[in-house]
Amino acid sequence: MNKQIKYTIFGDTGILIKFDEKLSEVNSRMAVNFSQLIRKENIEGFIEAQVSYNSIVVHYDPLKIGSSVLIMKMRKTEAKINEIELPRPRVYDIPTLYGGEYGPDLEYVAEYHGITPEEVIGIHTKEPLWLYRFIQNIVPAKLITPRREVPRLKVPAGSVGIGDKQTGVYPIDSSAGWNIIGRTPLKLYDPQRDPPFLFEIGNYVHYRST
Amino acid sequence: MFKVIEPGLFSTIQDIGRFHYRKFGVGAGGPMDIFSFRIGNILVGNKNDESSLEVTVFGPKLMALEDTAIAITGGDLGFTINDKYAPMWEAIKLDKGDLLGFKGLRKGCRAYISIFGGIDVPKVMGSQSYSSRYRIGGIGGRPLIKGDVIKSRVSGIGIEKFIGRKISKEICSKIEEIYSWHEKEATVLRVIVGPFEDHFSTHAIKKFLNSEYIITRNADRMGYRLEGPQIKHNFKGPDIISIGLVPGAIQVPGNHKPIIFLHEGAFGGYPLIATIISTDLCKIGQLKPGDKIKFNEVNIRQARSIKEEYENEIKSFIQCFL
Repeated sequence: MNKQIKYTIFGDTGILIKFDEKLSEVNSRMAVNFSQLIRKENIEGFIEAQVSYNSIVVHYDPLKIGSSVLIMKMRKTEAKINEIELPRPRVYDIPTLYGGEYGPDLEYVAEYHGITPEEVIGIHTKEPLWLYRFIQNIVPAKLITPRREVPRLKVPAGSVGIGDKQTGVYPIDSSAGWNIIGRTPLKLYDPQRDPPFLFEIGNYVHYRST
Repeated sequence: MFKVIEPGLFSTIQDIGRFHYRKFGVGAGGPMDIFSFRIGNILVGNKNDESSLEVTVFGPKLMALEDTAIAITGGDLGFTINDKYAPMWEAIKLDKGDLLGFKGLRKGCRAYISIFGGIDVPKVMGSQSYSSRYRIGGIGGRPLIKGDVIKSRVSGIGIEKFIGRKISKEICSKIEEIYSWHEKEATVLRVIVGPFEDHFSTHAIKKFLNSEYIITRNADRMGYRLEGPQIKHNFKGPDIISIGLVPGAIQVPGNHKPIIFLHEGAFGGYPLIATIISTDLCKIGQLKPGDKIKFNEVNIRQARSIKEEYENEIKSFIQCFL
């Protein structure tokens, strides 16, 4: 299965690597795996790989490596995608308090879909969801709800929401355009902790009603 | 060591940046004008990655609590010592009790206060830089406030070696070249087109490269919103699946007005018409609302030679003192 991987110049310090246009767990997994492979290569001048959905942005130091040499080295690494033994994805539980003061939009989401809030919770917690980004998943189709027209100025860290096709958790207090259906007491981000971020993409999260 | 008498409009501690956490959404941060930041560190004999104070438009008032050496670089915010104008781009000795201040903006937007020995604040996730979104770094994860004490990492021993260091003629010409201090003309920012140029017609890209834009009041370390000719998307529309962003990436959202993405964010979901080359990012550090800009296209090879040229100038400058 040799998918076409596209490399595009992104300013003079970035390379955008795109997998298939389609948004899927398979493409996302490929992106995560490939980014881990590239990191392992220890290419001089490589700084960081930022994976998001089906793409990777590689940040590099142009004084240490040229864009064409970097792309060539990454292309060479493609061959290893199937060879390498990568850690199996884990499932992280996200205990969530749904509705009430923690989920002011739960009722709206239920109404929007013509189902009960309990049914919303049922669908949201049914299966582990792949982490496409920190902390974002693709929501089950039955819960796709448009973003709020007017984003809230501030929602607390740990807020669980649904915005169009995405669901996820806000790791820090943020302004938010998503419909907030619950909150997790988990401290997903703690700058004083090692590691500061509780889990990485390339894994699953399972929302659990508490 | 300094005591903050007045914090100024927005004064934050920045080192060269926080890498390796962008994948989690934490922007790299770092100085908005890295050229001035680096020259400042060289003047006071600091290593490249020591932190400095980045001050914005209205600078702070600081009292020296011990003898030290400092250098002020970047925009001209009206630097004073004991209320008298003092020279920029030079390593200056401050005696205990001296008052470092700024009388008012004359050119540019931001200045750097480089202190001998760098600033002593803990590293958070690998960097001392203040991050506005995550409220980490600097002193207590916030900008300076009145009463803060800014400690340097070493005492004042050895400052004599650096006192009187000035910029070379070559660096002086580079400064003239980089910053167009003329208020009437537009600052030229060199860009590499893309990576989402396929969301725009050739005509739209041409329009973008031939238009003048004005920086709006929505301009900060996260991004600069621009006012000017609207750039319409083609059939591909104004949305992309969000990707990691490079500072200097220019997004065009649904309202067709470009936004320059800068140092505090990490991801974006609007088509990127062009990306400002890294060497020109320092110019943005000196631009403020009302300033005019224009974009010139370059290719990656040109961007690389420009970057190498600047780096060689800085290296030669460091050599002067070895």
